[in-house]
Amino acid sequence: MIKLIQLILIIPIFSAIICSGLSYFNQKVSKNLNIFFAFITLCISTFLIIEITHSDNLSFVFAGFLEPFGIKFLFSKENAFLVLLINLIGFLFSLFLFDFLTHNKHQAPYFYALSNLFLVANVGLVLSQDLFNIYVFIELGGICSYALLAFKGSSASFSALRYLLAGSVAATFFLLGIALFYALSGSLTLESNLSLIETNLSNFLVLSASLFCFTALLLKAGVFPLHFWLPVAYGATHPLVAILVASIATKIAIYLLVSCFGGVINVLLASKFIAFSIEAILSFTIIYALTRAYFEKGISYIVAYIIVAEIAYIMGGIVIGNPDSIFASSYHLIADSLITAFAFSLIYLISGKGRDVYVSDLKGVLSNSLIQFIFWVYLAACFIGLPLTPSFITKIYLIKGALISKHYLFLISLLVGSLIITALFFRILFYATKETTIRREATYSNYATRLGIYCLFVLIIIYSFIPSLIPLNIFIK
Amino acid sequence: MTLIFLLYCGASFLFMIGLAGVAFLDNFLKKIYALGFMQGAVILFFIILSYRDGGDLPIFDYALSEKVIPKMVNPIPHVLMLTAIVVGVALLALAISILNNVARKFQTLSEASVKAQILLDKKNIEGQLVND
Amino acid sequence: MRIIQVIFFLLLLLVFIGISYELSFKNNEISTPKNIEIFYLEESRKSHATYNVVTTILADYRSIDTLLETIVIFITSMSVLFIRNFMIDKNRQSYRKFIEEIDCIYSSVTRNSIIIIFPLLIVFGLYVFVHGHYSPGGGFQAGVILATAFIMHSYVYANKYNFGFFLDRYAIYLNYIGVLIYFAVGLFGIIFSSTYLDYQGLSAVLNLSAKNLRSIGILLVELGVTLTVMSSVYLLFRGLYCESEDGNL
Repeated sequence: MIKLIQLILIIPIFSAIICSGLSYFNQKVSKNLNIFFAFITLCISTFLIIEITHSDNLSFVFAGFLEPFGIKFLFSKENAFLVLLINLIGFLFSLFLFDFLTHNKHQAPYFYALSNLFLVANVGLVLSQDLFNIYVFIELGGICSYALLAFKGSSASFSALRYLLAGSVAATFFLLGIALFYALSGSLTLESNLSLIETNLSNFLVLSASLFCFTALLLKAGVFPLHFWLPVAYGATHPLVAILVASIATKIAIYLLVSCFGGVINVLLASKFIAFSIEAILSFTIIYALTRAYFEKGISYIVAYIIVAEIAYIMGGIVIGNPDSIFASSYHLIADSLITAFAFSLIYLISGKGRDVYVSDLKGVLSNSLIQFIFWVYLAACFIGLPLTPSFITKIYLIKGALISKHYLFLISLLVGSLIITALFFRILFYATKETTIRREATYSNYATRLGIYCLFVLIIIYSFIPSLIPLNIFIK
Repeated sequence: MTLIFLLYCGASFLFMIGLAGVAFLDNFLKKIYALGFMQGAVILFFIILSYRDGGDLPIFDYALSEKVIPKMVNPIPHVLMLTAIVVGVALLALAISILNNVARKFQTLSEASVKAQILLDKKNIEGQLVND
Repeated sequence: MRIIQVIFFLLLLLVFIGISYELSFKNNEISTPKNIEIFYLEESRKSHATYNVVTTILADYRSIDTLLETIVIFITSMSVLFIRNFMIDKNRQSYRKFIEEIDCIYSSVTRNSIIIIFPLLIVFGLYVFVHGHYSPGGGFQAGVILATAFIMHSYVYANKYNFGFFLDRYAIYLNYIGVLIYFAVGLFGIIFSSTYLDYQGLSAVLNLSAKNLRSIGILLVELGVTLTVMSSVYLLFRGLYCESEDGNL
């Protein structure tokens, strides 16, 4: 059992090395191996979820030492679903890669290595219990995403460079926070440092150390004042890359914020003035991001601005503090990853060779193909929050929580935001159903890509029925 | 005004110079140098943490009995800094290679003119799109 | 806008001075060895044959961090090649086109001194690698020194007929082999013993005492790290040095 958890980390590393090495010699074998290993990792994480509901937390220490002297990894009920989510998106991405690399043979080794190591980095972030190990995983995931986001060239390179500078500054702040934590507590494990935060946060050193780490994770998560890198980075890049990076990176940073530094959030919310100003900032974010999305002309940019608003939903749900809204936040974390992956995969289908996709390009697609029409309508419903989609459940619980706790500003911004998205998608779909003689086909749609998109669609529908079946408690505050 | 206070202040000033460089400078290459400054400052911070008066290398002698443990400098920050230095070098190399692409495409190293060029391109392309 | 940034900056400066002030008071408390440090120093004297405590912590107690760091430098060199659109082509057409554009004229002083320094640097790099157990050194430092030697040679001696000494042909493969060696040593741990990177699992192949097993494990791991760092730093040089017009190398 313990060996299985280690396999979740080891198999993607193994797959990265072997598949990218073999692809210099034999392309077919490495493609099949990549999908095979991704599938095995997915099966192991599913099996482990079933195990974890019966028993307690599973933990192990690498290199076989006892806990504070080695590095401990903990697999618990909260982590299990996130690990499954990351492996699921990784498996679907490998399905998309299967077709993409038939046309770009010489870039195969880089894609295999970068995508698998990105998955390793995020799984490790979720499981690790050692502060410096978290820093190394943040840097590894960061390097993989900088390289992947800069792949397309021209303005994608510029946005990746800005993201690199901002992300490196954030990681340096995190390292400085680690230095202060080590000076104060003499150990690097999460347990001892978190107990330090809980007992004496009024000490100036503890407060500054936790604020450094907190701000670094805020930048990685894309919360309002520090979100400046997000729309251009995810909007200008190749849609295939955005499927992998955009759906995982920010969500894992939010999870780390709440699970590691939840104490800081508690202290910040204790003062009424700060709580009200945080709520005002988040409400402003939602309206600002969705208004920017309304006036954009490129679809990737629109989805990227909607991601900023969704992150504000999740953070707002946490800040409100109700059991209902916290449930809505944890539910929406996973739902938004799947919806983002779905959105970018639809954009990837339309874009031929990764050029920028504008709303006007949608003109012929939907009236010519029924399945794509269903997918785009369902995507619009997901973002708006109609029934049969996960966002419906999220919004209901968020509204209920905001009403109970009397956070009326957030409630108003939620409703206004939904109206803006509805108007936006009516505009897009109305334009897209016009008749045209230009027939644009999806370029890379072989069976693997289609399989991936159908799987995503079915998953999102299934996910909207889940809260009555399985308890998801990711955030225990 | 002890020595330790001055050392920590020195590392902090180096960090702030680096942060000011990344935030306020216009040339991308200078921003990358400033990022290197920040990383050096954090490494210096850790090393000052590990210092001990009269401390010596954390290596046992051949006789295996002479060194007394409290006389050794704290080895843990040194271990962490080995990793941090390598990660810093990796980031700088990646930044320079992406900057190479940007500079080749836009023929300039200044952030403001790259932004202006991108906005101009965007306006041109979107102005040519058929309107709703 | 700029004013808000400057105000934040000055506030941050004050925070740092406050941190330095508080830390200088806590200096005695920071300097006394606490439980983790005492454990590392005493245990590495008892159960390791290595004298250098930094190497044992790096390669034994926190070996997963070192594996990740090796992977970071590996993926960085691959990313630099990726962003520069390198193509590993068997017939090397673009390689030949690039080679013809190199036009280095270095004086004979530089050329002759590089010829003398180059083997000395290689020997010094290998010395630092092997003596990682007994003096400050180890995998990363040795890898960088070896890469410096090859880079210096390529920088001065590149001409139309060949680019580098031997690392130029095999750097990409050595990159993978280094990480594979590190990874394989860990696999012995998970197959024959309890966790990944547990060096006692090597007892299935070698027949030594526990102390010496750990030493051999650390040495193998450092070998992997040296190969990877050497090839990666060389590839960083190679990826950033080439200048051609169509961006094809």
